[in-house]
Amino acid sequence: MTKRWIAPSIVVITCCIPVTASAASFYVAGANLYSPLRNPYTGGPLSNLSKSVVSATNFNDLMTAAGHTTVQSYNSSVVISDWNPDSLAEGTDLAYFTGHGAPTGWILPQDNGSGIAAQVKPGMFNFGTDGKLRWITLDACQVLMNASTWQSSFSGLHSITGATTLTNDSGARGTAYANNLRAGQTIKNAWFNALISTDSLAGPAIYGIRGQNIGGTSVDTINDYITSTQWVSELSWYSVTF
Amino acid sequence: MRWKLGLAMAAITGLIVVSNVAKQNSVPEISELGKRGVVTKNIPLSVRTSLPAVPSTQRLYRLVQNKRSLVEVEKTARDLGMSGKANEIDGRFMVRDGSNSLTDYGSGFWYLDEQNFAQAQKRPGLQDANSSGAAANRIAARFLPPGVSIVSVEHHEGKATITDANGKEDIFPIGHEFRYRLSVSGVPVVGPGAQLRVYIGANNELDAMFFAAPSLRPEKELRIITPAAAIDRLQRRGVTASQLADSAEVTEFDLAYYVPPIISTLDEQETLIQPVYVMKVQVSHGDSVETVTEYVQAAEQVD
Repeated sequence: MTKRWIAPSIVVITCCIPVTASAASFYVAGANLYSPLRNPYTGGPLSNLSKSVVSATNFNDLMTAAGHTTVQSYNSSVVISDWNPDSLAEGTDLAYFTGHGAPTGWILPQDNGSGIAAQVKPGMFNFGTDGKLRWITLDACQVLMNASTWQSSFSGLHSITGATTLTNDSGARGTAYANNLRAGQTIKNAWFNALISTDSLAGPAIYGIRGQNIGGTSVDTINDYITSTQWVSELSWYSVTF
Repeated sequence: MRWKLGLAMAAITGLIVVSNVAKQNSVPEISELGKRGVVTKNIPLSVRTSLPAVPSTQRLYRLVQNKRSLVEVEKTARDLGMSGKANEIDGRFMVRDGSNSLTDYGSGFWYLDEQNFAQAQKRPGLQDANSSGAAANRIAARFLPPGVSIVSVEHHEGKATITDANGKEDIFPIGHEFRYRLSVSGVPVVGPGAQLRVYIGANNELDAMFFAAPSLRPEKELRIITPAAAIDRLQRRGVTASQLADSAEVTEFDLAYYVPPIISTLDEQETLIQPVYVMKVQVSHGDSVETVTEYVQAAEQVD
C-alpha cells in the first residue's frame, strides 16, 4: 500500500488528551518493501520488513491525535527527493524514518537505477538550510555508528537520533516514541527510552550541535524538546552513545 | 453392540485428544525476533560450546497484566528519592519531581534524571566500572520484587565525543550502563519486556533505570525442538549481522522465554510467552568478526 498525504491537526479530540504547549510538525516515513533491491552498503539482498510501516503509522496517529501536523510517506513513496530543500521533510520540525539502515546512512525502498536501493548519505543534504527541519530520528540499524560523518549534513539541524547497533523490526517503537514525546520528555530521552523499551539488545545514540541562539545565549541541543525550534549556530558537535 | 459403541466413543475421544495435542503444540510466530541487518542463509555454522540437554517439552506461560495503584507508584517514586503525586497520562502513571521523572507501565517502570542521563560533558566524580557496578547491583537488588532474580549482567560504557569547529575531537566516558538478564519465578526471561538496565553517573548516583519484569501464569506443555535442530533452524532462517557473512560460530547457547515490549502488551489481556533458544554467534566476513545475539523459536510447530 502506498500513501502520502498531509494530515491536518485533529483538534476535536484533543480536549481529553495531553497537548504540548505548541503544535509541531512531523515528516513520518516507514518502509517495509525492499526486496528485490540490493543493500548499498554490503551489495547483498535487502530483506523485506514487516513492522516498520505499522510503527510509523502508530507514531503518526498518536501525534496527530495530540494536535500536531504530519506529512506521511510509506513504502514506494519514501524517496530521496523527500529530503530535498523545499520538500516534505524540510517543511517539518522533526523527520521520523523507520526502515533499513547502515553505517553509511539510511536506506530507502527506491531503485537507484542499478537495482541497488537509494541511500541518504552524510553530506548529501544540508538539513535545515532552507526549511525548518530541526531534528531527524532514524529507527534504522547503525546509522550513528560513525556519527561524526554527519557533521557536513548540519545546516540548521539540531540533532540526529538513532542507533549504533543493529535494531529489531518492532511495531511498538513508534508508539513508545510518540508516547514519550507526548509525556513531555526531551527528544533524546524520548528516543532512548523508546529504543531501550522495544529492543533489549539495542544501543541508542544522538549526534547534534552546540552553539548560540540569535540572542547570543549558549544553547545545548541535547536537551531540546519538540517546541525548541529556535535557530542555533554551530560551535561544536557532540555525540552520545551507549 | 455396547462394546462397538464403546470402541467408537474411544476412537472419537482419541481423535479429540490428538487434535488438542496438535493444537497446543502449534504456537504463533514471534514476529519481533528478526533484526533489520543483513541476513545470510545457509552459511557454514559451527558450534564452539556445549549444547545443553533439554527435555522434549517446555511449559508455555501467559503474561498477566498488573496495573499498579497510584499509591504503589508513589511508593516506588519515594524509594527512588522522589516526591510528588502520580498522574495518569495516556493510561500510564507518571510522577515528576524537578528534572526527575518516573513512568510506570504496570509490569515495569522507567526512571529518568533528565539532566544527568546521557550528558555530553565531562563528569567529575565518575567512578570506574567495578565501583559503579557495585552501586548498580545494590540499586537493582532494592527494586527487584519477590520472585524476580538476576541471572547475569553486562557492562556498557556511555561515551561522548565533542568535536570543535577546528575538527579537534575529545572522547570521554559519561556513565556506566549495566544490563541485567532476569528470571521470574525461576523462569529465565529475555527480550524487551523482561530486562533491567541501570545507568550510573557521577559519584555512583543513579541517572536512569529501565525495569520490566512480567508476571507469568503457567499454561500447557509445549513440544520443542532439540538444540541441534535449533541450530539447523537458524542456518535455514539466516544469521543477521551488519555485514555479509562467510561463516558463523555459535559461542553461547541457552534456553529462555521471550517477553515482547510492555508497550505492545498493554492492550492485550493475555500475551503468550514462549520459549526461545538464545545464541551468541560470532559472524566472520573476511578479516572482520562480529558477535550478534540470535533468538530462535523453540516450538516444534510455528504457525
